Amino acid sequence: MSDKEINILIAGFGGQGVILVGNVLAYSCIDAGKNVCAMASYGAEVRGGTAKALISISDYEIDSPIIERPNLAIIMNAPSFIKYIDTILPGSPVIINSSMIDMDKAPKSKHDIVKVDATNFAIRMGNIKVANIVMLGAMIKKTGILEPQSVTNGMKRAFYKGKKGLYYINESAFKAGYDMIA
Amino acid sequence: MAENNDTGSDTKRVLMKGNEAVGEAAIKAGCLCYFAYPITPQTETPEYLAKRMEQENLIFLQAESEVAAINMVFGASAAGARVMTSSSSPGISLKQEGISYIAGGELPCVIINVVRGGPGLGNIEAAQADYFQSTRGGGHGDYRCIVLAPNSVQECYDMVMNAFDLADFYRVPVIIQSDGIIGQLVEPFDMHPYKPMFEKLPPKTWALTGCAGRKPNVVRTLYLNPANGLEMHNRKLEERYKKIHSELRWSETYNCDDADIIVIAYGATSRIAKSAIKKHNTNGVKVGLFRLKTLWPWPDVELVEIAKKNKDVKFLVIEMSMGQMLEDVQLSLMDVVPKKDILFYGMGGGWNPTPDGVYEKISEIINK
Repeated sequence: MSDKEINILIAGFGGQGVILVGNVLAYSCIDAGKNVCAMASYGAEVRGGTAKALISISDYEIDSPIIERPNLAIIMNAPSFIKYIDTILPGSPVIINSSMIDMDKAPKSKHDIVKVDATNFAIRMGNIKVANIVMLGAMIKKTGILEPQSVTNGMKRAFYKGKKGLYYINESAFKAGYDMIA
Repeated sequence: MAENNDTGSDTKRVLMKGNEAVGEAAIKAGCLCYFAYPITPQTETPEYLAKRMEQENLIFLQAESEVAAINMVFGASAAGARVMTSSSSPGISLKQEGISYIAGGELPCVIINVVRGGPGLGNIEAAQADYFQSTRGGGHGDYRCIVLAPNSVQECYDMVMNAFDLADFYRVPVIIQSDGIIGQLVEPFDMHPYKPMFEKLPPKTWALTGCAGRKPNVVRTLYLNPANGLEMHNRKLEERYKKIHSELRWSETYNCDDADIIVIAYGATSRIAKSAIKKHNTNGVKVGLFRLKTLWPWPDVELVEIAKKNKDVKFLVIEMSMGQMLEDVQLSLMDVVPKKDILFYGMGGGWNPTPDGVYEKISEIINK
């Protein structure tokens, strides 16, 4: 658990592509030559229920696959925000999907909240499912944990075979999310 | 998740779950048949193999129950095939009768147990409470299974290959004892071609392959005649288990030289512990790790050596159980370490330690 280890929480409802973002990040880390370790919630999960993925990224060996306090997060919906916000280290960047989380009604927190209107933007792009990748783009720009090129390379591996057509819209979604952050 | 990314070289850096890596390793190691029944948290293995074994023209069969699956394993193994089954704790309990028969019949096979919380149906969280069941035989009669305990996706892949070789070499069932964390963990690993452990394996002259032109082979587990037949069979097995114990004890150490406290753990727990140990090391505290890669045979000789080298060392056993491996540690060290210096941190029922929890436990021992 080196200080340089980045422990990311990605949470949303089942179907929002939470696990997929984890996979894209993991492939991106292979491209960037970083160590990565990911755990997703498993078992009695249902579409519409809360899904989460935890990903550790480090230049060093990753020991514990158990993450206690994430220091970076992507939160896709309001129930996940309420459920997980207190587990995230105070002061950490938390990228929230403001299309589905009304921060005026959300509990107060001591985090570096970054609002991204991801779902609305994805609908305008023509595919609501790419909201997760819009969020990922914003997260990468905000934190600089990986080069954007590594992430697009990672996406090429994640959207392999039959999913190849999906690469292009996801690439656009990633760039759009990236450009949303100053 | 699993993908084939052909980079042109023999070894590919790929991303998979531990459970999926188990499946791919089996195919690469020449597993001809796989029989299983789904159960969380190991279902990715049959899911993966359902697809891959069809592609490779191998035999995948989802049995009607765990009991059926293990008896199919018995049959395929008796016919000389490399065969594997997988399940999680309650399913492995169901298989125990079959495993006893396989051990009695001196048949090689690979059994994957992705351990979850028990007893009973328990829960689906990671656990290590099947340690007694794996290392003491599990079913009836005097027998042992070789038990390998991976702690990464890479080791899931490598150890399954080793397991097939060890099973064929010693003619015993080999259990891979994984857990809900290691099975579900997604990590990149080097997917290399099959690396045989032995230059040459003994030919399966005992296999039931059709006896045209030779005396029929018999695979049996019932010994009624002569009167001491079963005793002789048990002696033979015992000799084999002694040989395995003398040849196969796998463990690794981390910062054990000069350590005041040595943590003993395996599987997911060993990695969680290592995080805490590194944090203590940076603060100048001398803590080491003794990690088991084989749960049976138990690396007792290696642990005793460490205990003799490190005067007044305290041992901390960490398990996701109420203390099962703890008994093997106490047995191994009974002549060299007072029992009060062997401490335990663990809990059953799907609980897992955290790096902070282990860190605090070590701090407590230091400050006592």
